Amino acid sequence: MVRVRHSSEAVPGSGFIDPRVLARIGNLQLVARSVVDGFINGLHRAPYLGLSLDFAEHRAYMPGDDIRRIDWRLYARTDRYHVKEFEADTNSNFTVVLDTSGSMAYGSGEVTKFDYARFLAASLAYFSHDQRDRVGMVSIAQDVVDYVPNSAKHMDVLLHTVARSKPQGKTDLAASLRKVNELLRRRGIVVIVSDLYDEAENIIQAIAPLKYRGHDVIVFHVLDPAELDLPFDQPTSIEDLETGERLPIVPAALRERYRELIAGHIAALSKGLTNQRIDYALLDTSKPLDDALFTYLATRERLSRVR
Amino acid sequence: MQFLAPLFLAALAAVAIPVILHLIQREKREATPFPSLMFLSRIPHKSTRRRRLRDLPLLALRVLALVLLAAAFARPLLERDRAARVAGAPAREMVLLLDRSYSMTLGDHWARAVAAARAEIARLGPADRMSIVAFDDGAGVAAQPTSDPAVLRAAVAGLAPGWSVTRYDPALRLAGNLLATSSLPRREVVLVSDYQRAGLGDGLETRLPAGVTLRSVALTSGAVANLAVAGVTFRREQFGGQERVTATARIVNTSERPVEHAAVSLLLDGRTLHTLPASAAPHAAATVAFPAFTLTRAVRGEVRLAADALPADDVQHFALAPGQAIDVLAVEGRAGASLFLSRALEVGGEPGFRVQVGRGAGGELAGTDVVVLNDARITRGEAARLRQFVAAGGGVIVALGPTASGSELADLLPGRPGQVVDRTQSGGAALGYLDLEHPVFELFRTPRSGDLAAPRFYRYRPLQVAATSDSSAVLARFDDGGVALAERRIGRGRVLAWASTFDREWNDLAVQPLFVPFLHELLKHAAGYAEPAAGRTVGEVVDARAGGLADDVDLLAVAPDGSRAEIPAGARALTLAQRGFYTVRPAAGEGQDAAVFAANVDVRESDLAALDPDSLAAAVRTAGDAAPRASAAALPAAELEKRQSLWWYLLAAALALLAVETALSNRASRAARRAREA
Repeated sequence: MVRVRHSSEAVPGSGFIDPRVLARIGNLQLVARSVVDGFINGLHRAPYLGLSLDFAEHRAYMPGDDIRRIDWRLYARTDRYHVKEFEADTNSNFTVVLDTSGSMAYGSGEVTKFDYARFLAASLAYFSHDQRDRVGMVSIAQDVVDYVPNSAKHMDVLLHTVARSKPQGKTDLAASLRKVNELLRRRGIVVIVSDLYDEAENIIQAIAPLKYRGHDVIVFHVLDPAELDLPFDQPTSIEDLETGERLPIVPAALRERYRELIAGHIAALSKGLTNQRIDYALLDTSKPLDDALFTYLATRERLSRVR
Repeated sequence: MQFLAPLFLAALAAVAIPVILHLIQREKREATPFPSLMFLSRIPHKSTRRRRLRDLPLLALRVLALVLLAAAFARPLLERDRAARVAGAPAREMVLLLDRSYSMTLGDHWARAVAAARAEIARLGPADRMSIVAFDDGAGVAAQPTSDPAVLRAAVAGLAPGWSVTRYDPALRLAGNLLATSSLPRREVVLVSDYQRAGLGDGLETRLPAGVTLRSVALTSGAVANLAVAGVTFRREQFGGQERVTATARIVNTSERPVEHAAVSLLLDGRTLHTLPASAAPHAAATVAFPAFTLTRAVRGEVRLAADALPADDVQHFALAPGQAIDVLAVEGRAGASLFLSRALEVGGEPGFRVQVGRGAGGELAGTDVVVLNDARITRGEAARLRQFVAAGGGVIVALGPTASGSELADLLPGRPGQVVDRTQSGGAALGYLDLEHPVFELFRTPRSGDLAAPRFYRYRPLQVAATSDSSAVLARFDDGGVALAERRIGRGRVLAWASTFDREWNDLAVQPLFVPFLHELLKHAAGYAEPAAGRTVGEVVDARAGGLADDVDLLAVAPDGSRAEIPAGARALTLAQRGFYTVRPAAGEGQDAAVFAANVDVRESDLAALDPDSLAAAVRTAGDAAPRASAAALPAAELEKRQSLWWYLLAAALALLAVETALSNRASRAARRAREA
């Protein structure tokens, strides 16, 4: 018996973000709009949404600062030099890398991992488009499957591409991410949505070059609750969705060891990616999308301070 | 025999489960789809052959184990011990908690606390035992459990209020630990305190063991006016070649009464400089800015209020020294390589830099804080000397330009310098990755505080840093992943390697606006510079050698009350336990240069708002132990069951049966496998 976890509303309005509700909406643009609008309404005074040229604070003048930014009116009042600081512009490149391998087709409840990944990709793209970013996407499996170059006008193309993607074929994350690195020339935000079925070391080695190029990389590791828990209670044959290979197992006997292995894999990915200063978030498909949106917003906020 | 929780016997129905499982277990025929066999295929394959009902001894063992488990949870007891009830007044184990925070110096609180403790000691019965715990923000046992009143009275007489704040948690935890090991039937905690609300902190985490009662002796007094000096801040300015300091004191009124025109004085080296009036409404603060004074040498100062009901918080001490400069030795390999570097370091005054430019690193390094090998070539002997310099706490910055050493620096650098990368054809490289949480780049985190992607690097020598190194870290990379800035810790110092130059030879960084702040931060980090703190808080641990005292000499720390403590060579930590000035100097040299630390009380203790003792007693009570512990006669069955503890034996027997069952079933499955193979 597969357990389906019922999500609680972490943010008011996050009922709109419940993946089981979203699964019933056919139109991906409508899904993205529901998620982002519901999320923003729930946030009330969002701390991350400062747009360009919003005044942030005064700071004491330091040698090396541009003297054009000195606030002369404040100087007249206080006899001290202060410079004005602003929140950053948010006109950058946003690229979502979507894993469309066969293993993403799995779902123990109403929502498959691929559906969840699509909702997330569409929502983040919609959100970034709203912030005047140039959006683009790459879908990958054994190789690059589809590529939508970054542009402010490509939102519809992106949504169309995401909507018609089908999870099929084997995964070769390392090879396909190398190609993604060649495709993305201009620095920006790269969001990778995948179930990361490969050795942790290979994955980290494949993703790190994106970081070296100056991209801000966020990895969303999408897993079904059944993949984390192995909740089957009857002896059965397990069939690999990518290769069709079968393995007869007694789940109760393997469960503990399986959980250790998957927890070890997650820990290795988390540690390795964090060491490379790459943001990593594990997403459970039974939970609402707001965790993922928060991770993305936190990175956006940090990124805005660099520019 | 009877059971305290007979409902658990319903669990006996569970004996049917093994039988039913054996009968209905069916292996699924259809395959279950799963994303990947990556992890499952790594687990050694287990046999799926079912055990059958014919293993009757095994089944019997399992059923018996379940029966014993159910019986254990039902908490059985035997009637025969019912008569063995303790008669007469039972003996008592007491822990007396005595608050010694500085708020106990208010009025006659301490004298009343000592009198209350003595009265408790006088009431001890011949079979009773008592221990005494003195507490402030920590707790310590002043008298181990004893029945001897003389020992207890002597322990109380040896206690005095300290300089720390109240925290109830450590004291109650220690009392709980002392009582947990006691075998006496009655257990009690007596808390003698002024019951400040501030002592709760973020809430109590401690729960006393079940059956322990908490009795309160609250020392309260009527509303009193209390002002405290909450802090002193300083602004330093250069004026006519001298350093001018403006001190601003923050005065808080923590009481219910307004205070008008209280005198606040600024004293330097014991001499009163200025006295100003301050007024504050109840639970409000006021700021007093004193006129600026000139700072030409290290001074000890204090801001003092006229004494009120709680004199301990009426003064803030501080130690000030004229602004210190960082001594930099720039060793250049090309004439003029340090022009931009030395000009950039002339700017600014907090801290200032004294730069000396030379052509070799063979000179005297004493008095130098940072050595900059600015595209310089040095010998292996000089590199070894620099390594010793770094291990002793110095800083080295290496700029790897066209004439810089390579293999000679192997023992010093955080990585191996690679071949020169030429990017002149592609318009130059930019910095890609930056560790913005590192002190060197922290300044650039704020918006519009310098575009670090703007400088162009036409040539550089990227470092190859081992990913597994614990002592080395990468702080910046170029856009091709090559390491631009890396750090290595050696002993107490650090080496920073910059993969390009500090002039316009290989890049245009030197003409960018961020060059000056970047270089200042780099030098400050290499020198281990920290903003000197004028005052600290009682309980803080400081680095006794922070004032530049060498590591290999014994030190002598003199506390504000004149007591002396030795700090042996190599040790650094000094705990500030009293309010006032601590002086640290070499043990062998009276009158030699000394470091001074000013310690002040934590003003959280100034808030005299009291707590209801009953609410504290309720907060530490164990769940399910709501009423004060009843006498032994009131709960005979529960008490008997607790003493007999039959459940424990039943549980042990069930576990033993399960162990036997495991061994037997393993043997049976091995035998079955052998039979199949045969």
